Amino acid sequence: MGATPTREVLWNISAHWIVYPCLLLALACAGYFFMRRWRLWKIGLPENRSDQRGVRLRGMVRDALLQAKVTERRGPGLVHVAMYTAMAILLVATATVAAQADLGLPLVQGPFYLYFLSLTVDIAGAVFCVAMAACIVRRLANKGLESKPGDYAVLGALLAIGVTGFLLEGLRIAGTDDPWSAWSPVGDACAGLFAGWSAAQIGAVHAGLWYFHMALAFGLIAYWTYSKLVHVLLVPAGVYWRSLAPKGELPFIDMEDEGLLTMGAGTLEELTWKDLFDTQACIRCNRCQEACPAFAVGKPLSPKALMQDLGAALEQRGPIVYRVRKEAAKAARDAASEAAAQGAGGAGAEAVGAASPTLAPAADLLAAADLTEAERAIVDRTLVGDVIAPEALWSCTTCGACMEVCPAFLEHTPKIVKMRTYQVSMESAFPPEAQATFRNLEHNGNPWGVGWQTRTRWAEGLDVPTLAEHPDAEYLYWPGCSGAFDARNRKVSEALVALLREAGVDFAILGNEEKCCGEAARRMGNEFVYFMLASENIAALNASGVKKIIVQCPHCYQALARDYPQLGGTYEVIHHGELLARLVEEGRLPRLDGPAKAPAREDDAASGTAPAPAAAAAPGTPARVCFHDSCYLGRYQDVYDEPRAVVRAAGAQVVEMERHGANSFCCGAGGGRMWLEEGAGERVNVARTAQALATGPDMVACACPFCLTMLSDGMVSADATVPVRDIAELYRGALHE
Amino acid sequence: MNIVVCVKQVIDTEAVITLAADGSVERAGQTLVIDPYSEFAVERAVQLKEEQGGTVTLLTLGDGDCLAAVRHGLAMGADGAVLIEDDAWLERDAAQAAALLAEALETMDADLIMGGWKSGDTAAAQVMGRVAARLGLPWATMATACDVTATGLRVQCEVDDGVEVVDMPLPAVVAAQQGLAEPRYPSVRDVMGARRKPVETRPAAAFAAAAAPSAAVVASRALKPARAGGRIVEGTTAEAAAETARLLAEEAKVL
Repeated sequence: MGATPTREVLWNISAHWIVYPCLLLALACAGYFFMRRWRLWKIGLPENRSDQRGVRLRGMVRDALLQAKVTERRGPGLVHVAMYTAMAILLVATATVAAQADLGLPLVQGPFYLYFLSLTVDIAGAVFCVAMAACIVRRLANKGLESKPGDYAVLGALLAIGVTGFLLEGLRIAGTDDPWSAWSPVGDACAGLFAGWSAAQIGAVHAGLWYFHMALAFGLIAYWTYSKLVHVLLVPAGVYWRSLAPKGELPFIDMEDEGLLTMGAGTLEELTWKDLFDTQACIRCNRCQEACPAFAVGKPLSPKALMQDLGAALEQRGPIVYRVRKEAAKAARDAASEAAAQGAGGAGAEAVGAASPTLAPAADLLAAADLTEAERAIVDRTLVGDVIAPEALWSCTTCGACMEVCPAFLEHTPKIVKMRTYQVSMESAFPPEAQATFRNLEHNGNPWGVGWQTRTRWAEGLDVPTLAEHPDAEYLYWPGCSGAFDARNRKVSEALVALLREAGVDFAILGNEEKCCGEAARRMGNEFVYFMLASENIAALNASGVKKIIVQCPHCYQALARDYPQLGGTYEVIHHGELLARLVEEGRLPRLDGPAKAPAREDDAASGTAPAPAAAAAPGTPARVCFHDSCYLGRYQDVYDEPRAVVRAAGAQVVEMERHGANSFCCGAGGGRMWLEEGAGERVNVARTAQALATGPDMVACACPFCLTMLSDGMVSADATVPVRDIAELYRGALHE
Repeated sequence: MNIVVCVKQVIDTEAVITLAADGSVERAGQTLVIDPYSEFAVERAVQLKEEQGGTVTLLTLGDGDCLAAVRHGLAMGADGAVLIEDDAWLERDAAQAAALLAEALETMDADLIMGGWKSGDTAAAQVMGRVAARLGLPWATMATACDVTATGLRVQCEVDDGVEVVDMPLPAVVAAQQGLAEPRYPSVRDVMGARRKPVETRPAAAFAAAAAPSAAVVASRALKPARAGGRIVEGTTAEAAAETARLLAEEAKVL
């Protein structure tokens, strides 16, 4: 073979220059639609998401370019990577052809032609077509995806582009008798379809199909930013703009600001631009909905539907708000320049200074604006009520499972909390049973409303010093409301106190000065009650010079470690699971190696067989302990290993539920749901208890008082006798066996 | 309609009570709240205002500490308040309290006067009835419903084992029982707004009624003696019955 491998680019096409005006037109369409979207999130409140550029860029490379997050879900994730990679290869190939055809670069030849432009591109094209077909089949088969006509249109168009590409290649091979056609196996096979056709027939069909292929491609580019394909731009941007704040941190509201007129989000424009951007970047991939415990048990909440409903409302309301604001700004500028033109000296200068005045709140502008009836109907729709159902808003446990799995790093729960904040703080609209909780927190600093003077009763007879009695204690031990008032959780406090003593930890409690941390109040939207509780706690802690705090409730952990710094309370907070693991590690508590290790019974773990009764474990076999991750210890604080280490140190074997670790399934009590009635659907705790029982455990362990309560109740509902214990109780029980 | 609601501030109903040396309840350090029965009255009054128009004014006998209860009522939707400032208010008995409130009400031109049928702390259930008597107005107590009619009010009152529905002309006095209305939870907007509502303070010394001595004076206070444990009579039913009868006759001497 002496000849250089190549092919004639744009064979049989006489007027290929047409692609450039078409491309420009298509890109103009895409640019126009993109601008329309950009205006939507423009109406949101400011928020800085451009700090730490290096970290953001690295994240974008990892999770958008390299698709790390996408492939965490194997099946659809890998298909996505296949189509993404194939599309990238096809784009390079098209660009190469264009470079040869119009820039005169001799690229389409030699080994590069054979190995890349022929073989690799052929394979990529085939992968692309198969991936598209697979996606269409998946959408037809999986009704849970709630596919829309647009989804099929996009997939169908992409598949048609791929298939016509191969047909064109086949026609070219058939028409030119290409000696290198073996390097384009799929195209070569397609050429077989046209065996026996005359050159004229091939030429005519090829030309027609070529223009059709182009039209489809340019149509898709024009439609790109209008359709869900805009995610090609928005998801990488969303990954770049993801939250880098400590997990679960909520926006600071300055309750001492005299000028504070509103709080939370009562309208779309009271969300931040990133919140609104999120609604546009959501591609309805369904992962959040599949992860959501509320959705799983039939509650009226889907994080996906939340995003989509906000996005749909934004597409209606956004342009009106944008226009009204723009008009108001223009009117203000005109008035200012007029005043400047008329007035002389001081007055004029003053008016010019006000050339970019702060506009009135959108609500006032909208109320005064001249709107059509249809527009008025749109702006009158309430965010919670008309757009988002209150039942959906209040079903959220803020467990964060949706955010954990979102490949675009969208932030669902902060939006929910912001809307709750508005509902509670400004509208006083919330599930009626929450009122008693709010009252109890206000009057007695605990959610049960037990007299605040009785907070330390749990410690009677345990000889636990208060900080007043022992001001030099290394740690402040913060039992929290559950640990102090709830009969079941007091046993955890007792066990923990005994273990701390045993390990020689120097600690004291705050006593009756301690109040509820306010975490539940804040996540239920009652920023005012949170602020009162937090301020009093911070004053007490700072007055005592507290530096290190042991908590036994992950919700207290969240408040003390993540919420309080905003109000001037900065402490080193440690959960008892972390501390106990460290004490074992340091040898201050013994590692209780269980007797002879039993053969692993992994097979039971996920099989869902009837729970093995505790008695079934052979004597000397380490107990099978199913550990349930608390959302606020696991997902929010990234503490997964330590509580398990405590279970193992007790000589037990840890068995895992299918959903554990970062993918754990909430007990149902987070986000203040502990204090609310459960409405429609199954109870979340019952569902989680069933998952735990499916592992055939001898015991279920947790590290959160709410989880302890919810799973214990779940056991009662399931008529099961498997004990539920906090890890402190479990370890102490083993220690004193 | 011009409604005046008499509001009392009490120690939180869940509080753990400690007693001072003289047997009175220690107030220091306690959480003070609007009396729950006053709160039912405020809620219904605000609802009536929302239905009928008019104003709701709160009237409180107390000291400066009682402003928290007043502010709460204002946050619930009352328009203004009058505080009869009296540092000795805790020593006053129900008759004196009623006299002071009635004297203030004489100048307040109320179409409807509301309040709790009793208070959560002393539970004397005296004040609203005495106010009505002093003003010569019709009175309905333990009200669980209160609606405006063409001729005045229709009030549903709780009585033993039933309810009594009464019609009365205005002006009138209605004393609230639990169930009259479910008190709302004021939003932060309401709480902020309440700070700007007017509270008129009128010193008790300016009232003629303030000079009148208490009708009743507390001589002393003591806790009930702890209940002595009962006795369990054992044996067969017949034996136990006979023995019980003997004990009742010979030891308790009640037979």
